[in-house]
Amino acid sequence: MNKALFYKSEVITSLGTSLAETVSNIKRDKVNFKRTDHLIDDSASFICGLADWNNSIFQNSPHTYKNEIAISILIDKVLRNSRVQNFDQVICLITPSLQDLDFYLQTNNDISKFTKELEYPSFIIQELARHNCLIRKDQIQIVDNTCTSGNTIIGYAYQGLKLGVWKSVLLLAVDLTDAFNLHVLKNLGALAVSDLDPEKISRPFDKLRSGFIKSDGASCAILSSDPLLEDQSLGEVLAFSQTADAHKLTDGRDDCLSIIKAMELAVERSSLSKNEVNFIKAHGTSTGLNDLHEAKAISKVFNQQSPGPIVFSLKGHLGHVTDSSGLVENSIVCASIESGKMFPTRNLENTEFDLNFLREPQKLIKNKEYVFLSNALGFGGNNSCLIFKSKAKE
Amino acid sequence: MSLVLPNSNPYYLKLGSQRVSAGSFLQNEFLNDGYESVQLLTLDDSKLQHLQKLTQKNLRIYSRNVKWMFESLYNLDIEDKLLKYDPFRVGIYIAGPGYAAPWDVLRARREGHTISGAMRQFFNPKHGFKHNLGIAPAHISIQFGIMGPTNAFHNYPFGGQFALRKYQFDLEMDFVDAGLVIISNIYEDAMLVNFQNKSENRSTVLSEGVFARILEKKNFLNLDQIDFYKEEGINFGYLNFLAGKRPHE
Repeated sequence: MNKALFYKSEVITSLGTSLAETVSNIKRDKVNFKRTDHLIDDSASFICGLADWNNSIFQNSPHTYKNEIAISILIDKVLRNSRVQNFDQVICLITPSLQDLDFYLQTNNDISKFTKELEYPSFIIQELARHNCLIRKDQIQIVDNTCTSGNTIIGYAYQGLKLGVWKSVLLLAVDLTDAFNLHVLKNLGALAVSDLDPEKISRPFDKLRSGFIKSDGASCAILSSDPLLEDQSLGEVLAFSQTADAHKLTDGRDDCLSIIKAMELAVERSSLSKNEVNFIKAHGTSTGLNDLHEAKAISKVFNQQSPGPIVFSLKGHLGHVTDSSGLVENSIVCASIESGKMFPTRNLENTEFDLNFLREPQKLIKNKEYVFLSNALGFGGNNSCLIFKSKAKE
Repeated sequence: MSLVLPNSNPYYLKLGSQRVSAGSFLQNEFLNDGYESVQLLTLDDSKLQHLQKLTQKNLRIYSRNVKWMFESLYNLDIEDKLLKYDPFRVGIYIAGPGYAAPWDVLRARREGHTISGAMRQFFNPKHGFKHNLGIAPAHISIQFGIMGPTNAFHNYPFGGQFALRKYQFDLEMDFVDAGLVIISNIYEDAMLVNFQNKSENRSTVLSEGVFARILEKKNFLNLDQIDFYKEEGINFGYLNFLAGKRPHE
């Protein structure tokens, strides 16, 4: 059976420090991807690809729209020096930016190009063509599965590669926030409300958690089944599962049935036993309900193991990148495993959950393969789980 | 690769809209022999109110796109047909338009607001998510108790094809036993359709439609044999394909 190798990826993120600041940052003239300094250290230079393109490069981009700038930079960074130059499929998620549309309509009155599904694929084709990669329109798919989209596009590519339908797939996830998006999230009560230091607001699984920080994030990755790339791959996708709550749009099921089922299906499909899972990258948004249900489900699935897999969430570092969080966070975890260091759950001080949380940076053992389970729990009650196996690094 | 296409299963296809002034044109364009079972319907408010009453758990639906999807599903009587399956083994595969309310946006702009400002001013933000295509599968899974994979694809011309392919993958990997495939092309207001049809740049006719079908492990058809480029219309090629008929055959 073919392997689905996670070959190469790039990430750009900005940490939303507070709602007010994020709102002011999203104005066109102040578009600003900030370095997430606390994530950048000597062992993880991969993550701070952002540091290479500072604001001046960003503002000197030939493109006008935020989403297009992010797509252009990511494709350029991933395809430059990549051994994979041809793709059978491009699977992407691109959330609309109303600021972009505002700007677009001021300069172009043709509303036939108004919708993103008519506009972005053409742009992606152009950008790929710059790297001599030719793609037809019917090879570009746009997925919209709310917060699970990132995991879903990886899982979808995994399925195509496993079945031998595709050989190489380019994944693209762009989620840049706008004022309306923030307004909706705020009114849903999902955004953090706290007087704490902005750096400490996003507190996954902590008792003082009050919601998440919405941040911008985009990522591009290559998944391939080419065995020649195995030596350079970051890891392998072993399994994928999806379930739905069928309960309520805003609240998860109290019995956590569908989250449990998603995790169990993923472990079962990976042909591993539960005690072979080393880490769980929790969705951990730091909202009250998400963390409660997710912690319940994890303890239920892995209750036989002691001390159980190590649980962590990256939302304390990054904020919540919503739709693209799956691809952004999995790329970061794959890169951090390769660099031999695991990032802890930031801002986790007191918790009511009896889980084996990662609180301090952990150095990883050389020449060991690590398996991690990646959760994504989306708005509307759809859940998706992936299982990755990292490569043993010398 | 093969794709399940049970011709014996009923399907529901809804075309047209009363509010589209170019309705007669659309009929002539698309109602050919291939659509022998098509019910040409207009948007009937009384029917929608009836549907609203049917929905359980205080589920309020604001998007016309989702309303049309529900109308299609109720016409299929899917509740009875899905009872025999494990809820975790039924998937939902949707392809639909990304922006559910372009007319609201355009209207807002005419009144001198920016889009995002207008969205904040005229929309109840709590309902904002419900106009999102990604929420449509959640609405359907809640209503019919489906707990398997849920997927939504944007209907940029090949959305229907991608929804089918995802279903095909799930079936091949034994993730599901049945799938609910719904392909819609709804512009929340016919103004956009009229604007597009009168546009000098138009290359295809935009029209509205919803297709819904339960797909099971029965008959197989080769997806790769279909030349999607030859199909006319923004997404009616895929609706045709699902209906088991091609307009030019």
